[in-house]
Amino acid sequence: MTATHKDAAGQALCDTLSRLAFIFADPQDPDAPPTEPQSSLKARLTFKGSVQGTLEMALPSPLGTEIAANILGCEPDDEEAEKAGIDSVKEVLNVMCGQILPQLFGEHTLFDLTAPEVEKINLTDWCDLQRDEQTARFQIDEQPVLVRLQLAS
Amino acid sequence: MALNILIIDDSATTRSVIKKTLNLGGIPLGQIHEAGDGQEGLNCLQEHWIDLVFVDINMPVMNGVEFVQKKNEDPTHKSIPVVVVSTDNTQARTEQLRAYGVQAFVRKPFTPEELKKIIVDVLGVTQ
Repeated sequence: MTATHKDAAGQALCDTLSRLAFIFADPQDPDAPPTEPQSSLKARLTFKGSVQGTLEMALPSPLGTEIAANILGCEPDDEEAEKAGIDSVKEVLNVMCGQILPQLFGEHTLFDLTAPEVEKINLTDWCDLQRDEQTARFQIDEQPVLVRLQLAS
Repeated sequence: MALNILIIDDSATTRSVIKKTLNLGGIPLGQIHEAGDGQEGLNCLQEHWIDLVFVDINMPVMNGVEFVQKKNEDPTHKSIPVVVVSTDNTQARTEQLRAYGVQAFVRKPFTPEELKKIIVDVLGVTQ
């Protein structure tokens, strides 16, 4: 993956969260120490068209609820937001992919996307994703968010 | 005339946002039905009178493109207007869906104003 692809994934994260949830993500300082959230989620989808690849996003579990609350216009401790946390993370990833693919591959290519899947990940998986050179690191109110776009060779 | 609307999207969050937008939009609403994929949407068309369908593209079981194709195979449902609400708004996708008779497209994330305008444009209803 080139820097352009990594930049596109990061820009899509920032744009999507600001427009969908009015949440603003900032790039993490490259010299900042690695983060180790207590409880994390990873969302993943694959796409297939002129190229194939995967888009992944990892974040602390409570941030998913916060995103849901902002999308739905309710408080994070509302039952509605707590129920919608995982679903909202999936939707963020879906919207991000919808921005990235035409930006990188143009308006004239059809892509088939799988439905996003979300799983809980342990600290080892988080750290593996975090140290990958293809991963873009962001933060939202001091909470880390990782994004990785991988293209099949 | 109160409009009966079907919202097909695998994201319950998106369905909820569309419902809230419709309820706040000053549009004369009847019943709002929800489906989590294209097959559930087709089942809903069999069971209820629907005036307008909002459908996502990327969904499990049956995606939005397949839904539109299947809907059009039924003469009683072919004329029901469809608005695609999706992250995929590329020229390639819109050309494909216009060929199947899709009237309008809304790109996610959308604003309430965009959704209201689409309804007015597609159905000609006044607020």
